[in-house]
Amino acid sequence: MRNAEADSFYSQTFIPRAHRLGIVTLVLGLVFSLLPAFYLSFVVGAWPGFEAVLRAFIPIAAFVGVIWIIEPLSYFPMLGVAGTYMSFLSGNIGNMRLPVVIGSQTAVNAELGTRKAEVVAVIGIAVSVLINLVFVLAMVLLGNLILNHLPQFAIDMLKNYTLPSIYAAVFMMFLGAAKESMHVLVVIVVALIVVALPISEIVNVTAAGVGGILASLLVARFTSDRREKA
Amino acid sequence: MDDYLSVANSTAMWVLALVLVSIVVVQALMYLRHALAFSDKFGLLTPEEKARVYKTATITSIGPAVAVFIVSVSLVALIGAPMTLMRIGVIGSAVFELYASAQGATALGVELGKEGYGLQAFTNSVWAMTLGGSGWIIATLILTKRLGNAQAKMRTSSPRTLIIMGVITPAVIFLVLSINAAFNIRSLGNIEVEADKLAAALGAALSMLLFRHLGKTQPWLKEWSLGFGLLIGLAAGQLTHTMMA
Repeated sequence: MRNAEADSFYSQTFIPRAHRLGIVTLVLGLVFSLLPAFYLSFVVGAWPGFEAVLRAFIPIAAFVGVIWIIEPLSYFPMLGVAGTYMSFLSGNIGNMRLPVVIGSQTAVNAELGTRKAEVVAVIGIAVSVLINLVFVLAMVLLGNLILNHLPQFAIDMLKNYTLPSIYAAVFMMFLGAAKESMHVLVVIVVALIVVALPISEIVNVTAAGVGGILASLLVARFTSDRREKA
Repeated sequence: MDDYLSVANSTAMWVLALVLVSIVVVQALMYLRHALAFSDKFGLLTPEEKARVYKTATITSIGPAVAVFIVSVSLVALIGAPMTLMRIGVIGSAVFELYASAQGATALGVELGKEGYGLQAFTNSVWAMTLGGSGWIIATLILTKRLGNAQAKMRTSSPRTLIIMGVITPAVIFLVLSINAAFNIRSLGNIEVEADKLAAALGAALSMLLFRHLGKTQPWLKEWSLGFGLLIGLAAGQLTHTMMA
């Protein structure tokens, strides 16, 4: 059967190759992202000393150390294997990659969790990486020139309202993918609990990921599929 | 302040930046080819659907890309164009890189871009940004294989759990992000509403409801809905801001 064939191709060729490609490119990305620091320190000769590097690094690690681990974990169900390797090399996950994933999946009616949805996610992320690079290249080359030609209100508007708008719009898209009203209720309750926790806004997104995963496991465990019952 | 910017914008730094950018581009192209080959082999997407994905991904990327541009253009003056390209364009996010580069400066007792911020402080900022950013790459390298295996197991044992997780987890994350963006919650009794940002969020959310409804009869709207939703949110925020002033 065609479906079984696709399944075995997926698990024996598509996914292993996605891992190999991801590991090679991430190791390369890691090495090459460190080269400027080595170049400045030991070729130019501006090495600030171990103590200074550690004094900068330790507060950062204390601040974002948990996020390093929780982000790949909580975004994985949406990004998949290939999408995770791409997104964590290219950054801008919450504000760009995830909106692109859910937007593209909705545009072609790809149901979450299907092969089609995963392929759509990979294509969408790849396109968005390329588009973003065009903008960033324009920024580093012509940034101030462009900025000087934009009216101040447009700059303020983009600065202040892009994130609330895109987050709320993407939230509605995920909500639209929910098949049962009970899931919508769970989402709202968990989110309200998370924002009520006495923790900073940077950490509470992480708590939202953990809370979402735990709530999903509970919902899956204690409810049964209506179609199964019928 | 010695002239660290001439080093920051030197040819060598540009070369290093462009190599890193090409790694990211090559990765994206290889995954694109990999996904298209899988799709074509088993007819997962029709040519028409593929075209729709390209279009939707492009439209949806432009809004956030412009916003990243506006937020991070100031970094070019502080850490030079090549580092901005490397940190914002390919690995990090504007907020984290700004924070990390400031930590690098603070560790040497100076302020980012201010008096006394020289070549050594800049180098320390570069160390702080790259080491800090490495955490995500290393965690991804370690975790993704395990997560993939766990997902594969769940796909056979409890596929329903995966689908529920795929809906509930992102919805919770994005609702919390929206609330964070529109409210300042210091404690339960001390909540400040940022009315303009709330209006932006509500405008975008309500327009998505409308687009979903209209999309049933006008399928082309689906490709544009996030782009339009963003524009309506921006307009609602700015309008509220103007009315409050």
